[in-house]
Amino acid sequence: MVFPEDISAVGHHVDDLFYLALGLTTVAFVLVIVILAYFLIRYRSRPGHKALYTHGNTAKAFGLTVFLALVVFVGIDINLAIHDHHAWEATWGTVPVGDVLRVEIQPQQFAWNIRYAGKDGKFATEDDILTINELHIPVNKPVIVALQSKDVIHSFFLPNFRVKQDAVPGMVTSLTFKAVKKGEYDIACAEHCGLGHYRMRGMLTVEEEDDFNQWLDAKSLQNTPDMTWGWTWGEGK
Amino acid sequence: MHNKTSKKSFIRKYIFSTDHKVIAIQYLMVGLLFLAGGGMMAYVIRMQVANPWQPIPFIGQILFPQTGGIVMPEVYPMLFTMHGGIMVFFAVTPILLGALGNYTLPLEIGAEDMAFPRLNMQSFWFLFLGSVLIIVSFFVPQGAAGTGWTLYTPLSSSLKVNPGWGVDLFILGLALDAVSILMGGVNYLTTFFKMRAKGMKLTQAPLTSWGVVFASVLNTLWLPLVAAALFMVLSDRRLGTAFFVAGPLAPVAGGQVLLFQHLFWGFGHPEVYIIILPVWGLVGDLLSVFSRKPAFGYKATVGCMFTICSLSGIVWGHHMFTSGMNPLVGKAFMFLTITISVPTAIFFLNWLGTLWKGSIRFTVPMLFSLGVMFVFAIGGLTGLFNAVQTLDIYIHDTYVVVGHFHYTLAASVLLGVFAFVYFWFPKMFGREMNQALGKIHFVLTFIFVNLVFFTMMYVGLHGHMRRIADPTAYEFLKPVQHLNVFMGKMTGLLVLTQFIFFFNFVYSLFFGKKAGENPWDAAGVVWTTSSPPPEHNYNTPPQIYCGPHEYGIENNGKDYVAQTNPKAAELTGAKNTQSQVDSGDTLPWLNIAKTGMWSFLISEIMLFTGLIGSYIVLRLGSASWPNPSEILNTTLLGINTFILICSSLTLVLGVHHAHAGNQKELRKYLLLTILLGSAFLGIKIFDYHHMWEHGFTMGGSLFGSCYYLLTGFHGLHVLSGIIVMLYLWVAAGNKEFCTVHSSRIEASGLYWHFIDLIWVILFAILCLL
Ligand code: HEM
Ligand SMILES: [Cu+2]
Ligand SMILES: [Cu+2]
Repeated sequence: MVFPEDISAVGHHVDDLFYLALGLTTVAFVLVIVILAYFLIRYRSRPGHKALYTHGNTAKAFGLTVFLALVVFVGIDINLAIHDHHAWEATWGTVPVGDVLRVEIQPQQFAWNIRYAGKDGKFATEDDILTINELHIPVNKPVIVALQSKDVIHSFFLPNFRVKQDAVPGMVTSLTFKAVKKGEYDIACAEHCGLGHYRMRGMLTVEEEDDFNQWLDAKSLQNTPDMTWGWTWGEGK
Repeated sequence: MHNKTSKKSFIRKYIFSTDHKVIAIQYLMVGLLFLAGGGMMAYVIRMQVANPWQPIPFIGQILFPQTGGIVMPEVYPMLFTMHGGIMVFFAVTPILLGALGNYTLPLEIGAEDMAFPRLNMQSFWFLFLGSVLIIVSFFVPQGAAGTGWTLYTPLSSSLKVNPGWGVDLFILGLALDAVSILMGGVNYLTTFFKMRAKGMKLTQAPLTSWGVVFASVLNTLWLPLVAAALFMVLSDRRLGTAFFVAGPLAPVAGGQVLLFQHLFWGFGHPEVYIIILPVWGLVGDLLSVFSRKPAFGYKATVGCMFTICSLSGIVWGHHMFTSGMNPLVGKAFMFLTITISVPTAIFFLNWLGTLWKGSIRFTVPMLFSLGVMFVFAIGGLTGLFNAVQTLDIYIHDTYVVVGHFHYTLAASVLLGVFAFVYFWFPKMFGREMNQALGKIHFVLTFIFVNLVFFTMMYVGLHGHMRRIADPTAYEFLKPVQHLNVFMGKMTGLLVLTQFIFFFNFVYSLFFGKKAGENPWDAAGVVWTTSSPPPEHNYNTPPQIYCGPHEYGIENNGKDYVAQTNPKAAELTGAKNTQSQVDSGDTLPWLNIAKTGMWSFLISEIMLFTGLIGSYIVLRLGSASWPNPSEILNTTLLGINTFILICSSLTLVLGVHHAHAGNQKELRKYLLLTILLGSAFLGIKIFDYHHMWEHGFTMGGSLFGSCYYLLTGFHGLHVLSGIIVMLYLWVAAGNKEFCTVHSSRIEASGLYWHFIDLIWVILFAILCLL
């Protein structure tokens, strides 16, 4: 089990990309090492064995060089670029439409401030629902998280979705993901942000939409409005 | 004339020596000491991650007596920050450029010393001062920098989140190191292009020299860029500006956090090639020596180095896929990055070609060279994973990246450093290192290096973030924690293994077998001089007749043709090219002083490119920008511009008289130039004072920050120009100054004109536009 469990709708594209790259590089590596080992044994210095005198500036060597360059360029580079393009289109390139959950997150040293829009569906209003380090999302529903850091750079990392996005002060970044499996998972900070970086952990709970709504309602009852942060969706400040 | 060994005091001979060989050994000692220190930190890091918050075995009690050997949360970031910073800038760079470059370059091209021996000595002492600051930084209140060696802003640049002097000392230490590296680069480039032995064409220089030269070119171009960024960080910290701070932490609006990353990686990516290029060159040469065959496809290899250098300057964005930059830009960066695999593959082909049908001798340096091939293959190939944008978003800032760059930076370079030391030790010290111990050292190092770094990539794939002090805080990392324990043990063994090397080094220094001039049957010109070489390297200036890799030819019972063999053309069957003997000087129309000055000016241009470029980016990104003419006293600054232009003219006249040998006139015009320069500075100070009084301060607005930063930097350059000219003015009081030093005056003139030109540009973009 190389990767942590994949609970996302599209994370397998990333894993597939990895296995493709692994395949291509393994072929190249094994080729190099086998040739290397063969040469080392075959051409080891011993009595009676003489080295061939050549600078390798022959037409044959030139041809081999061009051939190798083409193989690497087409077989590895272009190949990877095309697959990356498709994977990108399926993951980051797809903007969910229709029924989505929007969340604003403002990380700070060393916690995740999380904001749901509340009843009115608008952010930066009094009825916003706030939590710390505790992100609940419904299963099978796309989520868009908008990030803006309060202090230094942090990085919002969901290992089980194969995504991460830096949160930068002074600008809003965002990422999208959809869970297909319920449970409790880790939210990690992936960018060093100071001495408490290692314990900047959040908890992600994926649950049925009903459970999620119940949780949200319960939260909204104990809500104290916090207008010190939050921004109108799509704008940032 | 040169074989007279001058009687010099101990201090002049071993401490403040201008002999490149002594300086190289000084670099080597400092570099190895820091390598040991950095290695020890790596051990502490790994033990902490293996068993979080447990006392570090063996050395914990000594390092952290107050806590009973436990690493505190605020100490852990210092450890990985200083480990990275020290390894890159104070261990590997001094060893590969400082020691390898200094020792091998003049010797291998048959020169008697560096082009500027005094500058060379000063380079070392700048590094030394930098090292002192780095060491001091551990002992200031709140300790050393803990921001990561990448110094990402605003973590590094805001005093609110990062008080204390650790970061400041780190930056100042780096700045001194940068000065040292740039001064070294001036020397390497000038020496290589102008001082090769008679007969040595560019294509007959060893690959090691080419590696050092390309590394120096990259340093000259890109190091100033990061220097500019670091000065701006320092200014953010101590002068109240906010170039790289935004959001609630920022004292004024308009700063751009990501700008720092662009500047940092603009240098940071070429830096990895700066480090590896000398190793590539060395390995290319060593494979040839020990396969007893010419380097296969020499010209293609040099061409690949050149191509990789060029590409390395335009791929920095692959470090920023998750930063929130435009995905299309990301795609361009990805594609440029993976095309580097083409020249790298050709490189490998030529290495294998060199071994093909050779007669391979498994000496210790050869084993380490083969080890470099192995680990660099892994390092290079794993680079592809990081370059693929969609995949990198997952593995970025995990241990995949750490494992990958340790294969290229640490494993390859470490093995390369050892190949260098084992191979050159006899030449340096006149004694051989013990081969049996060397082989044991190789096998163990090779095994442990791979066990540590391969495992690192594996835990990274599982999502293990880098730079976390305690992975057990996360549920999803529980399944790989046992691998952290494993890596801890292997790192301990790796560190232990290095004591074999340490012992071998010290023992051989005193008791090793005496080495002849050519212990490796090598063909390069350096192996024709004694071990260690005399003060000026060669008793008579050598003449070169062929390339450095003429192995595999029957010649008087030997199987190689030395570069100094006058019958080389005949023996190697080369077409007779004797009609056109290379002078060893590629730039006959540019004298040595001016060549050095141009190399220096290019780095100065890049420094101002960094500063001016940042200004442009910040200004274009700002919502509003004041009208400069409403704030600045444009008339006064215009007059000042005129004064500075006049000073260029007076200097031209001075140089003219210097050529004519008219010393009195020269001094007159020098004095006039100095006076005009001082007037410029005087008016400048008056102007600063006046505007500051009127509320136009450095921390008050982004425009103020840019204005004072740019003009302030320029002012410092004017000041240093004046000091140089004062020096020349005093020196020109001496008789016969002109005949000896007119080229120096000319070179200084170049510098002064450059400063004036920069001012004209600054005046235009700051005050008029
Ligand atoms: C001798 C064996 C070495 C081991 C076991 C080792 C281990 C480590 C570890 C565990 C980290 C990551 C720290 C973290 O992210 O939490 C690290 C970072 C680093 N190492 Fe090494 N290292 C070694 C040698 C070297 C060498 C020779 C270099 C030379 C270039 C080097 C350069 C770096 C750099 C640049 C970083 C990044 C520091 C940062 O994250 O800010 N290391 N090393
Ligand atoms: Cu963090
Ligand atoms: Cu890079």
